[in-house]
This record gives sequence, C-alpha cells and structure tokens, in this order.
Amino acid sequence: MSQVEWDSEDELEEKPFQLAYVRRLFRYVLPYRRTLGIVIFIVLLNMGLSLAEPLMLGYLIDDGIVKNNMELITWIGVSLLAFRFLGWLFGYIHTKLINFTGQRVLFDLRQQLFNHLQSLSFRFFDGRPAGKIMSRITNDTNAIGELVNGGLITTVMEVTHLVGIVAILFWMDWQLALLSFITMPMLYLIVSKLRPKIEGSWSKSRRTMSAINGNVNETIQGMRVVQAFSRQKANDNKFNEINTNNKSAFMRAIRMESMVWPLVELIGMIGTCIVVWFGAKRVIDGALSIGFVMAFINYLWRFWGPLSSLSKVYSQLLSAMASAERLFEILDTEPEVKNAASAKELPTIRGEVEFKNVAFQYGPDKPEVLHGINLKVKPGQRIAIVGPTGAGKSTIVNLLMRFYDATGGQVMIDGHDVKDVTLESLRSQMGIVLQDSFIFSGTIEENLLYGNEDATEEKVMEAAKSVRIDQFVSKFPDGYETQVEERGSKLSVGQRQLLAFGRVLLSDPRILILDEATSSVDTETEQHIQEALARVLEGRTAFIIAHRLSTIRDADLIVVVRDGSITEQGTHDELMKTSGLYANLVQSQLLMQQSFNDVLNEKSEQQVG
Amino acid sequence: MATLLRLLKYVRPSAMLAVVTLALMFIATLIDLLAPWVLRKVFDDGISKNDMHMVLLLVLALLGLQVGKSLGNFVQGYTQELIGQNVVFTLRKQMYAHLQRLPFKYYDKAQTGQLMSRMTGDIEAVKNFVGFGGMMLVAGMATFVGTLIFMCSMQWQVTLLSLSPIPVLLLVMWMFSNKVGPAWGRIREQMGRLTTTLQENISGIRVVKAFASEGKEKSKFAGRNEQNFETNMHRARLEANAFPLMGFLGGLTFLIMIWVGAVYVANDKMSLGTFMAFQWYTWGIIWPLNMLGWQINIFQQALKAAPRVFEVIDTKVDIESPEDGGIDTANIRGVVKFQNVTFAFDKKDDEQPEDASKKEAAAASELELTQQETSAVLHNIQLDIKQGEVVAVLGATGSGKSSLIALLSRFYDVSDGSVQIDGIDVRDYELEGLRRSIGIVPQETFLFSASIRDNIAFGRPDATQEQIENAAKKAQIHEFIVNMPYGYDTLIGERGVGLSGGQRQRVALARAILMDPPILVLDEATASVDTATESAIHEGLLEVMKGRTTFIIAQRLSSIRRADRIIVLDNGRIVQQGTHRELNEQDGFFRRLLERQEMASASGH
Repeated sequence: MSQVEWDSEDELEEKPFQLAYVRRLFRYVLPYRRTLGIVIFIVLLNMGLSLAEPLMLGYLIDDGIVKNNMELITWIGVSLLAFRFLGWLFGYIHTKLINFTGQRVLFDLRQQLFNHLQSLSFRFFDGRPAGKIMSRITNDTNAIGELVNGGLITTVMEVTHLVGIVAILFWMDWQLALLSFITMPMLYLIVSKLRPKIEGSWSKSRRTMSAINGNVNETIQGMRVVQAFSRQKANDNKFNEINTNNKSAFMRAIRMESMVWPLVELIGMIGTCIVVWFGAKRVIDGALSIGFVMAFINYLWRFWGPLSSLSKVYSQLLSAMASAERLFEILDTEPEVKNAASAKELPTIRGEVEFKNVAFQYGPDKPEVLHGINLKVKPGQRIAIVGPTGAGKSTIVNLLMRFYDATGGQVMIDGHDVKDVTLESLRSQMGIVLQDSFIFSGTIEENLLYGNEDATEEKVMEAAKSVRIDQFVSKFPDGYETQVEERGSKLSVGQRQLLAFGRVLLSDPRILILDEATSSVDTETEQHIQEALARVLEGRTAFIIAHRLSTIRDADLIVVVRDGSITEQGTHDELMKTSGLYANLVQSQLLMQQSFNDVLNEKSEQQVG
Repeated sequence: MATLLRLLKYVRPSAMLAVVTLALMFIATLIDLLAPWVLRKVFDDGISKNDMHMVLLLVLALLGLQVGKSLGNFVQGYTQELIGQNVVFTLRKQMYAHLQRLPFKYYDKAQTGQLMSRMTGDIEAVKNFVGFGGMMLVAGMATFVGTLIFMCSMQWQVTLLSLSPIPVLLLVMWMFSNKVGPAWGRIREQMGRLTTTLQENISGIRVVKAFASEGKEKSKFAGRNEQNFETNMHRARLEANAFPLMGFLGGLTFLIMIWVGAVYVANDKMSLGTFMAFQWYTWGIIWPLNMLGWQINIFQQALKAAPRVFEVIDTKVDIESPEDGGIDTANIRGVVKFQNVTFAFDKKDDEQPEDASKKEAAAASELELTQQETSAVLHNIQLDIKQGEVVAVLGATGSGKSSLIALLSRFYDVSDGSVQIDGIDVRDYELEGLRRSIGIVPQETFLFSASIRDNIAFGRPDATQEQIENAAKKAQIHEFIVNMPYGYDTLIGERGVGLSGGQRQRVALARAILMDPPILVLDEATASVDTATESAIHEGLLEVMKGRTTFIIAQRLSSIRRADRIIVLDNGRIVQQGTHRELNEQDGFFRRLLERQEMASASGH
C-alpha cells in the first residue's frame, strides 16, 4: 500500500482537557436538560439510599444483634427491603432516560454533521479521503455519545458518592478518617505520574487504529488495481506492519493501564489495614463498638469504587475531547460557496450566460488557473470547450455550477450574478454530466429518477431512449429494476456514463453541461445521443467539453482554452480560417486521418507484396 | 455455539497465555475469598479475645495477600488483553488478506461501507469479548462458586436461604440474553447500512451537489439515523427492564443474608465474626451477578459480530492459483488464444443450494443454460493472436470489450471454453505471475494516496528512479511531474484529486509500462486525453509495444492506427476481424466509424 503514514499530518494529537470544548459539548445536552434533571435527581436519591446502608448495618450489629433486639432487626430488614425496591424503580427510570439522552445527543450530533457536510464546498472534499470523513461521523460521534451516556451521570454520581463517603467518614470518627487517608498522597503521586503516560499511549493506539481504517478503506476502493498489479503480498506486508504497530501500541497502553488499578487497590488495602488495626485496638480499649468499626470499614471500602469509575470517565473524557476537536473542526469549516444573505431565487433560466473577466485560483497560495475569461453565450446556444488536458476547461463549467466561486470577475446567468442567487434554485435548473460517473447503489430506475423523483414513466422511457439505455436494460432479466452497485461491473464504464447522462436529462435542466460525458461511449451511440439532444434541448443552452471532433464541430460557438485563458472563439468555420490551436487540432486530426489512410494503403501494399 | 467454538480456535495459539491468565485469576479469586476469612479471625480471635498481637499478625497477613493479589491482577490484566489482541490481530490479518484475494465478482456486489464496518466495528466487538469479557465471565463464575463454597463451609443454612432469589435472577438473565442477542444483531446490521449511506454520500458528493439534492440526502440520512436511534433504544429498553431487576434480585440475596444472619447471630447460632465475613462475601455473590448483565451484552455482541467477519473470511476465492502452485510465468511470450469462450457474469449455480436433489439440479442447469444464452456477455469467442501482435478491439458500449480483457487476466473465469497464453490455459498458471505478465491501463483510473513515484512504482516497488522516469516519459507525463512543486514526491489524493482526468490516465499508463509485461492492455487508456497528447502518447508507445502482444480498446481511430489487427465486437460476438484494409472493404461497424470520422474532419475543409 501507499507509503503515506495514514496517521501523519491531520490526525490530531490527543488534547488535554479543554473547558471550551466541554462547554460546547454541553450545548448538545441542553435540549434534554429536563430529562437529565430527572436522571440526576434520581441518581442522587439512589446515592443517598446506598450511603445510608452501611450506617444501618452498623445499627443492626450494635443495637440489634449485640442487644438481641429482634424488633429493630425486623425494622432495619424491612427498610432495607424498601430501599431495594426503590433502587429497582430508580434504576429502571435511570437506565431508560440516560440511554434516551445519550442516543438523542448522538443522533443530533450526527445529523448536524451530515447536514453541515452537505453544505460544504468541493474544496473540502478535494483533499480528504472518504474514509477519514466517515470515521468522524461514525466513530467520533460515538465517543461523545458514550461520554454523555456513561460519563456525565457517572461523574455526578461518583463525585457525590465520594463527597458523601468522606463526609460520613469524618463525621463518624475524624481521627480514624485521617488515619485511613494517610495513604492518599501516595496515590496522588502514582496517578499523576502514570496518567499522562497512559493517555499518551492510548492516543498512539487510537492513531494506529485510524491508520488501519484508512489503509483498509483505500485497499477496498482500489481493489481492482491491487489485483491487476498483483500487489497482494506487498500490501499484506504493509498491513502486517500497521497491524503490528497497532497491537504493540495497544499493549503498551494496557501494560500501564493494568498497573494502575492493582496499585490503587494495594494502597487502599494499606489504609484499610491501618483502620482495622487501630480500630481493633480501640474496640479492645472499649472506645469504639464492633458495629462502628465494621461500618467504617464498609464505607472506606466503598471509597475506591467511585475513584476507579471516575478515572475511567476521565480517560473517556480525554478521548472524547480529541473526537470533539475533530468534529468541531468540520462544523467550524465555513462553506466557501454558500447563499449570500440577500440571495434570491433564480427565476426560470432562459440560458444567457456571461463570464465577465473571470479569474480563479484554488487557494490563496495556489497559482491562478483561469485568467480574465470573457465569454458571452446567447440562450439556446451550444458551446464546445476544447483545449489540452489541464487547461482549465472543467474549471470553467465548475464556476458556472458554482461548485467553486470565481476569485475575480463575475459569472452571470440571465443577467444575475450566480453569487446573488440561491444555490438550490441555481443548481436545480442546471444539469452536469461528469466524466467520472457516480452511480448510487439501487435500481437503474432509482438512479434515473435521482434528480427528478416525480418524472412520469413516459418521461423516463424517453430519456432512456435518448441515451440508448433502453437497449442494454432490456437485456437484464429485471429490466429497470436491476440492482446496480457503486462500482459494480454489471454496467460497463460506457453504460454508466449513459446512465448518468439519462439521469441528468430526466431532471430537465435549463442549462446542460457535458464534461467529457461520453468519452467511453462508442461513436455511433454518441451520434445518436447528439441527435436526441438536439431534440431534447431545443432552445436550451449547452456546454460541451469533449475531445472528439465529431462532438465539437456542430457547436454554435467553439471556445479554445489554453493555460487558463480563452485563446480563440468562434464557429468551426471561423476558427478554421485562423491558424490557431483549433485549426491545428483539426489539421492534426486530418493528418492522423491521412496517415491512417496511409496505414490502410501500407497494409494493403504489404498484403499485395 | 459453532461461532464460539470457532472463536476458541483463534485463542488456541495463545493457549499458554490463557492458562497463565486463568491460573492467576484463580489465585486472585482465592485471595479475595481468604481476605474476609482473615477479617473474621480479626474479630473472633483478635478483638473478642483482646489479643492485639493477633490483630497485628492478621492485618499483616491481609496486606501480604493484597500484595500477591495486586501482582497477580497486573499480570492477568496484561495477559488477558494480549490474548484478545492476538485474536484480533489474526482476524484482521486474515480478513485483509482474504479481501485482497476475493474475485471481482465479489466486489461487484459488495459495499465498501459494509466491509469497513465489519473490519472495524465487528472485529472490535469480538475483541471486547475474547480478552476482557471472556476472562471476566470466567472470573465471575469462579468467584461466585468459590464464595458459595466458603460461605457454606462457614454457615450453610444462612447461605442457602440467601440464595433463594438466584433462580429467579437466572431466569431474568436467560430471558434478557435471548432478547438482547437479536437486538445486537439488528444494531450491527443497521450500523453497516448507516455506514454505507454515508460512504455513498461522500463518494458521490459531486453528483449530490450537481443535482442540488442535499435536502433529499439529509432526509435519507435522517431516516438511517432515526433507525439507529430506534434500534439502540430498543436495546436500552431491554437493559432497563433487566439490569435494575437483576440488581434488585442480587441485592435481595444480600438483604436476606443480613436479615437471617442477624437473627441467627442474635439467637447465637452464628458468630459475629462469621456475620462480618459474610458481609464481605456477599460482594463475591453480588459482583458476578451484576457483572453478568454486561457480560451477556458483550458476549451477545461478539456472537452477532463474529459471523459477519467469518462470512467474509469464508467467502470462497474461486479464482486462485491451481493447487500445485501453477505453471511458472517467467517465460510467457504472449501468444494468446481464445477458444470457444463464453462468459456470463452471474452463474446461477452459485446460488443453488448444494444439497438440491439431482432432478432439481438438472432442471436448474437447463434453466441455467437458457439463461446463460441470454445473459452471457461473450459468446463463442475464437481468437488467435501471435506474439507481438497489436490488436485493437472495437465495438459499441456494452458489447463486451472490457469483459474480453478481464478474462485474460482471470479477473473472471470463463463460463465455457478456455483462454490460453502460449498454449496453456490461463487457469493453469500461477495467478500472481499471470497478472504481472499482463500490464493493464484500466478505464477508470484509481490512484492511491501516495507520492506520484509510489503510484507509478505500484506494481514494482523496487524500481529505480531511472526506470520510473523512463516509464513516465513514455507516458508523456514526465514533463508535467517535474514541474510539480515536489516533482515525483508530490502527494496525490485517494482519487488522484488535483490531477485532471487526462493526467491521471497518464500516470496509470506509466504504472503499466513500468511493469514491463509481455502483454499490454490499454482499456480506453487515453479517452480523457486530448488528441494532440494522444498522438504523442501513441508515438511513445510504439517503442513500448515493440515485441509485446498489445490489446487496445478505444473509441477514437487515432488510438488504433498502429494495430495489426482489428476485432469488432457486437453483443458479445466477434462480428468482424482483420486488418484496417480488410475491414474497410466490408460493410460494417468499422467502415461506419471510419466514415463518420472522415466526415467530421473532411467538413473542416
């Protein structure tokens, strides 16, 4: 696979706790504050009940068992039973509501991200592999959903728990309490030393995981090339390396992680031992009762549980912070191409197009790819754009679709600057057939209807006929119901181009753009399409980018683009009178034709000879 | 169960580790069980008898036990994750390797999103169970049983009495497990669909925007998202029904023990120390029970996820080297023969159940025959190509040109007849070598996220810079590359974004040239290149093609000028073949093409 380290540049380092993110994340929870309020209330109640238990047990021992008070034993038993019933009820409500909140936040976040993605411009997608964007919407949102689901309530619960326990311990016997916490500094020291290291190694482990995802995604996408070039062994080795990296990073993190809890437990036990020893001594001295010591130990024992939960929440929080940063990065990306504040609907397009001194560069630090483009197109004209690869032909039509915004000059349709009208009203009236035809998985019919779901059967058939889809579809047993896949080979490349073409025709565009739309279609079919187009597009403006002369020749206006500038424009006959690039192109085609004829003759001579 | 057994096989290489982990776990459990016993001693032998010396001794013993336990826990925590990682590592490796060997037929139907979610989410779910989850399950059971034994040995009546809620609890658990399994199955399924919708939206974002159908896409995704919410809430409701109830029943055990215990102590049937110890022991009963709910969740998730992974691994690779490794391809010269070749994409017998009765099978094969007749992409292809011959393949869209070539590289296997190279059936060659002997420039260019150099050297990672530059020069892309800011080190994106269609095709061309194959296939390799550049490329290719058998699929005549022979396909049949001149004399596809192009350029005058 590629030599690029997947985790290199834009995978962000795990960030320390950042209040701004937490605050921002909190806003997603806000709509559910009432539900959350109920949950917190219930959790606190439940906490109170469970904190009361050891105290009651202490009474049970000292006043019930030791004094043989059967009535008290029964009472405590009954109330403990009541507590349990309440706990059951609380648990039910809590589990349900917190899942609801967590899943809802996840839903909102995902939807917001997806919706935002739909508004982002091409430039955003240009440089980013699909796999990376996907993992943000699935994995990163999950990390945050989990934080809400588990972390938020756990924090509330365990912090109150801790405070409660410490308060009770000190209330019971402050000397014993102080004594039991004598080991705390030790704990603090260990945790504060280990935590950053552990976090660092977890973040490394996560990055190696995203390297695996990226690699797998690309391998699947490029599988046909992989197999054609027999790259499997080299890929296996590369994957093995990434896979091993992930394993060792994970194990490194685990080695440290699994050190923490046993250490904490050990330190906890030292505290308990001190209490047992000291407590025993004072019981013997008669200063304390057995039940009291028991209850004390019971509370002390409960001190460590919340601590471990909280430390888990903390690492959950850190990983959610990294996810949040990645999500917010997307959400904060302003769409470069968007509706102006005063954008109005573009009325039905007549088809007059004008480029006024248009210049374009893909980024401020990128070179200018279009310079001073001036072009005037009358409604209903057919414009052919020709020129060498990389001259800027596609860029010109992309500006017309407003996939990008011109960096200089104006692009006008019917006298409206495309920047002043809403994107929806603009693009829904235009149709573009791209060279790289993307087919959605679904039936052929669904694909045809993509741009116009309400098209009548008749319209569908007409469009299918115009682009000759009907000819091959009739051979499929399921006809238009045939299931096709994004990259499946049920359709040949040419057939997919035709399908994409039909899809656009059906959407009834006022301006049609063909960006090498039929490069893989045979000339005969292409000619048929040309004829059908003349009928379908009666009175509509069309832009055609093509290399085949037969496609270009009949255009009303031929525009020659070279190095980002229009060097010639005119009809075929006009341009042929000059000695420009177009005339050259036709000449070379002619020469080719001649040499082809030579080949014919040569071959025949050989045969004669 | 079968899934579980199969997962167990993956654990086998780590058997020693598993034994160590289990041993350590049992020791830790034992220590856990001993601690309350020591504590009981503190009360019964120490405090009651006013023996501080004894108390100190016991306290130290307690500490010592904890040191042992902590050490054990540390090692166990590490080894159990190591087992999980070993299993996941192998699973991932197997799945990746297998994915790379699955035939094109598989990818014709597979969705990238689904495959991705299996490779990541599902494998992760398996890992959670195999390492941590599985061990916790065993640990929980051991603790539970061990605690019972200890408690029974101290005071069996109270112990048994307090166990009375356990059968109910087991029932609840069993019901939960049965219901949550399918729920997890649905969640995993649904997640795969959500990923697919997402993946298609992102890959097809240009189409989405061109049709201004963002609104439609949003509501489509919202539908999936809502389903995701629903399936998860369904699971949450199951949890809400079961977990608190299980917690309650576990708590009841504790309560009964306290209550009955208190009565027993009050009636002097039990010592206070035992009562204290029991309090500690109840933890050993409640903990495994509480944990079990989550264990079931993890377990069921893995059980639903693993088959999704196995399904991929089990998909038959029906195109591979012959069993004996196949014939060496080092000396392939490039004589190609298609003998009576018929090919259809969907062979119906794939879907036939294997145990179908013979009669049914016969009927099916008859049906299959007729279906093959109609759905076949290629019919009875006969073709003899000499070494070094340049063959142009023409034909209408969908006439079977690309399929013809795909059979040569064994991307698909013929349905009937045979394809031979140097007189040997391609199915008898070593597969990798066969494909290396055929350099393909595909119609749709896929470039990897890597430098241009790595992309060109894709098939020959060991190529020298000189060789790479040579190939690039022949593909007319060298000039362009050296003018890029980082030259050959310039990174290009997943879809080769940043390069125009024509530039990408030329990089792909260089990639094939560098392979130096005896057979070269250009599948509309220059469709997106302007005519002038195309001519230049073909001039450059002249030298490359020398001595190589070359197939050229093209729509433009300029691409096939140098062909020795032209083949015209129509509806999967060869309808014309011969030299330019021979075809020119026949009335047919070729002459019509010629006339059209002549017309186009002639009217220039």
